[in-house]
Amino acid sequence: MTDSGRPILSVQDLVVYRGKGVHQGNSTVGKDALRVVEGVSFEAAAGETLGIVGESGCGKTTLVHAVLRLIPYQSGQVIFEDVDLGGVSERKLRSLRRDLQVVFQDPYSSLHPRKLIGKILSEPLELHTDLSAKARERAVISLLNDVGLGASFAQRFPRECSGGQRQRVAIARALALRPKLVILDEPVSALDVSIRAQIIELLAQLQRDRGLTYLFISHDLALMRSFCQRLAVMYLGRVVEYGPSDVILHRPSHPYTRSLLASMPIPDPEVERRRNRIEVRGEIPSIRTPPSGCTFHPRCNYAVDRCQVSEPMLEVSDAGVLSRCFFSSEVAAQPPLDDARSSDAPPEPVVEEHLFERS
Amino acid sequence: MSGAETSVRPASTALPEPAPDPVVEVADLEVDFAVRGAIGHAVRGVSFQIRSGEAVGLVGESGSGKTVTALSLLRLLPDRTTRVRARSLRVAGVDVLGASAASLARLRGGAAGVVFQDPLRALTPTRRVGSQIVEVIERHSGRSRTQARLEAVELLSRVGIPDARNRARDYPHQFSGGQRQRILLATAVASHPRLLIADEPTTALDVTTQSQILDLLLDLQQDLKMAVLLISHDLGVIARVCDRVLVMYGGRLVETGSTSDVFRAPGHPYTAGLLRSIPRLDRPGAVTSAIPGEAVDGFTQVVGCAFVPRCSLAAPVCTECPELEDVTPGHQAACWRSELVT
Amino acid sequence: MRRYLLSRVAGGIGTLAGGSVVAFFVFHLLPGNPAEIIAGTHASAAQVAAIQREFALNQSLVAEFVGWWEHVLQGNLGVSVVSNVPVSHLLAQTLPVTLTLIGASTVVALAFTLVLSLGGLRKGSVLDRIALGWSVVGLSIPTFWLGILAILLFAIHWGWLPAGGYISPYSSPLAGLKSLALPAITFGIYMSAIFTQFLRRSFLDVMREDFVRTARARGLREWQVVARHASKPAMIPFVTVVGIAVSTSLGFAMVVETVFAYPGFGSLFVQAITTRDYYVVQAGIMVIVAAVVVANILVDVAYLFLDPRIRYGREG
Repeated sequence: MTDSGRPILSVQDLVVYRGKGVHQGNSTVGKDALRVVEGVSFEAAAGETLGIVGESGCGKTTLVHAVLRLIPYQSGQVIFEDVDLGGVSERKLRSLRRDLQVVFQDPYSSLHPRKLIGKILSEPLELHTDLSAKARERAVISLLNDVGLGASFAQRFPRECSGGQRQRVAIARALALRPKLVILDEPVSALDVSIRAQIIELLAQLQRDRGLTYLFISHDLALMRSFCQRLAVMYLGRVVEYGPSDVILHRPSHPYTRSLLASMPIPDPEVERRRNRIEVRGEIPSIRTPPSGCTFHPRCNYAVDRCQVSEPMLEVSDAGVLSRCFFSSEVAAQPPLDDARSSDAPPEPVVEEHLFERS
Repeated sequence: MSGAETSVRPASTALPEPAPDPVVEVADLEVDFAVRGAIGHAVRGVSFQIRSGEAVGLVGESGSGKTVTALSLLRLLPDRTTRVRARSLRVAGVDVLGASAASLARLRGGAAGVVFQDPLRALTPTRRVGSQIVEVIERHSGRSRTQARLEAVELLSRVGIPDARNRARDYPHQFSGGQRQRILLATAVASHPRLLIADEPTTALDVTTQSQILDLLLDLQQDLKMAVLLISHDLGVIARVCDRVLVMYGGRLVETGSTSDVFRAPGHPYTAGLLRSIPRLDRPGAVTSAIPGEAVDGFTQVVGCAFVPRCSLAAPVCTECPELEDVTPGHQAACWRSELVT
Repeated sequence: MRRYLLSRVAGGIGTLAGGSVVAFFVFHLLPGNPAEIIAGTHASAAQVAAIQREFALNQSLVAEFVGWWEHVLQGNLGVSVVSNVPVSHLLAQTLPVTLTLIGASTVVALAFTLVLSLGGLRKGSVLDRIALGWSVVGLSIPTFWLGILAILLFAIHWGWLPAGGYISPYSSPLAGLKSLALPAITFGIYMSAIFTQFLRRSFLDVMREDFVRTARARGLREWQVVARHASKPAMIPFVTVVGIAVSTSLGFAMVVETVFAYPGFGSLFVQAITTRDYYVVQAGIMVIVAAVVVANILVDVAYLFLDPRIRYGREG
């Protein structure tokens, strides 16, 4: 399953229920409980970015919360740096959390509105280190510089900052304790396009400088293509495709990934006009009433009778990635969607060259 | 009743005389707003036209004035805190600023329909979806209630709601996000408007659902031969739907032209920077930030071009405010140095 | 929907049961035993013993509690220690009087509120400012003071209305309404101050909603927007407030009835407390708890009418 380096985070067969009567370490839950995450496995190698992509209801947020052990999980393992988070005490967990930080989507609600930014950034240092007040102050200023904000921001309140600046503060707070892994939960979705690019650039810079590992949650496939080395595509609580993002986003092996790709609009009217559309039927079913067999079958163009009764396993496709589809090889054999690098020549190769050389 | 095609067409008596082209004509639109005693400028001297049947995209970041511009077209901004002025503001032949309350009400929902971003919040939670369509038909085409009900059901199935006859009696919360946006579209086109204003209609939706709604939007546009003003921050959505695009920055129009011209060879450094900042599925490579800094808000005093603090091409001449000028015929940019934009 | 109602009724029964425990044990928590409390400070030991026998207070607490419940279920709430009249008779006399008062006050309050809250449709309008002032002034004036002022002006100075007492409006409508007017208006003004504050706020919030803007964008007239789209959503939070206010108004009736010498439940309860009328106080607590329970169930029923999300459950 891995291809590069030692995994720093390894999630194996994780099952998470939500709803009434769900408690830590309790495998018997009430009948109203929902299986929101259904046997998810992935690994993040040190220094890489692993992307988790999916639409609403795919379970990615629940997955993040379970990995952080903010909510209990029912079975499976979350192994961080060779320690099974499921088995450790609260005390040990607290010290592990220094190495495992998170940045959430909404920079407006994740920062305490009545605290100065200097205070927000020095708090984790107060709790987890024995640095002197002077040393903490220096650390805060250096953190602010690292995320592209000046020392003067220490004296501001979050409300005095723009959305992009707040997200920089949230990133600085996550980095305060020099973590090894940072979970980025839709960190740029709430931001404007120009600010989005700035934050992504900053995150990439910080990763290079500090050797960080990222777990990057998003629904933006284009962003993932450039930012993530590996990708897990989730649908209704399951990983349906898993492998190098380059391969998955170029030659998807699962019909869901393929339809996601086809649905993403491309900011180029010429390309948009030429693209072949795949119609995706219907909408995402409720997690309360997941379809039988392969959960994607009601919306799938490849579905046959078999897909309604039995659920495919994650297996290696012809493209060399893991896919949860009986027809992964047929899907992978399809011509790639809208790709300028594609060897399958697009209709107007000359125009293509011209188009993509610009800018 | 002879099918959805004819049934959505209103009685001609309910509409004012067929208005001349263009459907929308805006000249020197200014919108000021008051927040806690301070006066801000949301829109500063915006002029544009929308012709019959064309799809125009209005793009910009938050605070650029794009939504305010669109809402001004039907005077949907709160009167108490905003002031709208313009040399000319005509929609479907109606002088919006001079119109009486009655003719404004005929315009809203009659010749011009509106769709907002969040379909759950834009549909009244305590009213059945059918009756929310019926009231538009009754109001603007003078049909009897029975007739309006039949048309509402046909319209619901036209926008892709299965079992429309029964589902018309359901409430908004009983539908999925995509279905709600379909219903909202149905209410907006129920009177066969000449203009549909769609404010971020797919931003709250999932990618696969967004794609379906955009298809429906294009379909309805062709069917009903409407002009569409699509407000979006997503250049991909604009590229897919629109013939022409208007780019706003700091309350001003900084670039306009056909979508293919603007996207292929932008004439304003802001547009060019935006296009470079977006990661593309068909173009691998690291995301690079092409626009430093942050946008100005409406309260900042701006001298000259508002983009100067973020612009790599800024020069002394930029302290004077550039007007929109032709880059190529039909493609205009408000930049002194547009020939240097790459 | 059925399940929703059943769960609310079950909750109500639970509250009643809990209330009965409180009502029963209140006197046992006071120092001394209930018999001593009933007999008063100057009673002899023999008198206390007699009372103990008479009221069956010499059993275990639990047995006593069960016995009390048996009587309650048979409609026997005990006999007033002070007046020797069965408690159920006392309640039958006083409750209709108080309910009439509360009903009339609520009508007065809602009338004021609905007119004033329309100000909330346009923030900053003259009506809106009046509504805001009304709710602030109405809440800060003590009810008893307002009552006394009303008596001084309308009864004593001008002599238009009686200063107090109760005449049943069901048997003699005109005189009855006259006797009801001052207390109902005094009480109603206080209630309307609370109501106005909430309904105004509620309207201000709803008028900012996307669906109101959408309704305007459909070309509806402003009154249609309010009547069809804004009014029901604005009522949903408001109904809760009305429910709480009406259910707690039994307590407030004590003040108003004392000021206007009104022979209602409030006066009875106040008197029972001062004279330590054991069974009357017990029954009174039960009545107040029951009123809260009934009002809450009525609020839940009102939700069913106002909010389809409750009527049809959530989907999607």
